[in-house]
Amino acid sequence: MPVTESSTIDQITVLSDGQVLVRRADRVLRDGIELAKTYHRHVVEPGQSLTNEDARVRSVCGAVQTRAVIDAFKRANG
Amino acid sequence: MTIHVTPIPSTIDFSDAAPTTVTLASQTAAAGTAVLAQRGDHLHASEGFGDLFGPGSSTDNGIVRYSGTTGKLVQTYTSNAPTISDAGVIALTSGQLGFPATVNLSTDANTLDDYEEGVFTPYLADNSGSASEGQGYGYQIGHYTRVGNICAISIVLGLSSLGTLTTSEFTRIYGLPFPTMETAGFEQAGSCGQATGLAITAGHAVTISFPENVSRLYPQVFDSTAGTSRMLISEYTADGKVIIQATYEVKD
Repeated sequence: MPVTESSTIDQITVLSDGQVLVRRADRVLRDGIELAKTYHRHVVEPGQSLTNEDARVRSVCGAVQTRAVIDAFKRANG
Repeated sequence: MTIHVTPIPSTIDFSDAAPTTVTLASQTAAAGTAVLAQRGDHLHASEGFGDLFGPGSSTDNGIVRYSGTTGKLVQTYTSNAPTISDAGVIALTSGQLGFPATVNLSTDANTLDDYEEGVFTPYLADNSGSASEGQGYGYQIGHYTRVGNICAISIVLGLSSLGTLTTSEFTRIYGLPFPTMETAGFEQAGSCGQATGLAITAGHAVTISFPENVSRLYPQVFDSTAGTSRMLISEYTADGKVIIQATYEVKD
């Protein structure tokens, strides 16, 4: 009965002002059956570094957080 | 005697004269069988036309559920049957109420539409907001529980190094799990219950504020007769540690 772990970005939510909500699901499985799950969340504000982000998150942010969106967000929220 | 009726569906009409007698072959209801006619043996004292009977082991007031295999049988519960009392009170005896992994937001003010618990990774930043200025941490822990539009957070954030953070700039703690509510001027606040290693004046309390529509918070110090001012990186110091408990309204 091997116990394995998996970690996947299971949800990416884009808000209208360009903020991207990212949820990672960390799972512990035995024989493919989920024993435990923990969510880890963070938000990528327009203009924040994407260096350490998952490839899909970078892709979404790259498409959504355009220069105009970043400028507008920074004007509104600092 | 067994009566076979074809084609299906067919209708068998019984006399209106009471009591109509339909005697089942086994005289006992099979577990999970729906009996839609009055029977002569009256297994249940209150049995009547159109009654639906579940398994003999049914929980009093238990909520009916159907077999996903046959789609017809009323199933029992292995334990902890949820019930609805005569007064309409729903009791979740299992103690668990599940919500979908993807929120289904409701605009109704009286509808609970979300529950989620998890962790996040708070980090200290200066005005740049960057997590990559060589900051080092002894403690970098964040837990959250979201219920509806409220998010409760607990943070333990202790530094081991400031890296290249600009000491003359204000502290910002990033990494919140959800953005704060977007309403102009609607800043929110929370509490810092414990702090060590800071470079503030004795007697000055530390607190926090949430700007609107962002996923960060600002540590503040009650250091003036007027109230609070933003905490500087130099006041946090390279071994500063804060423990924060707060709830905030999130942006839906």
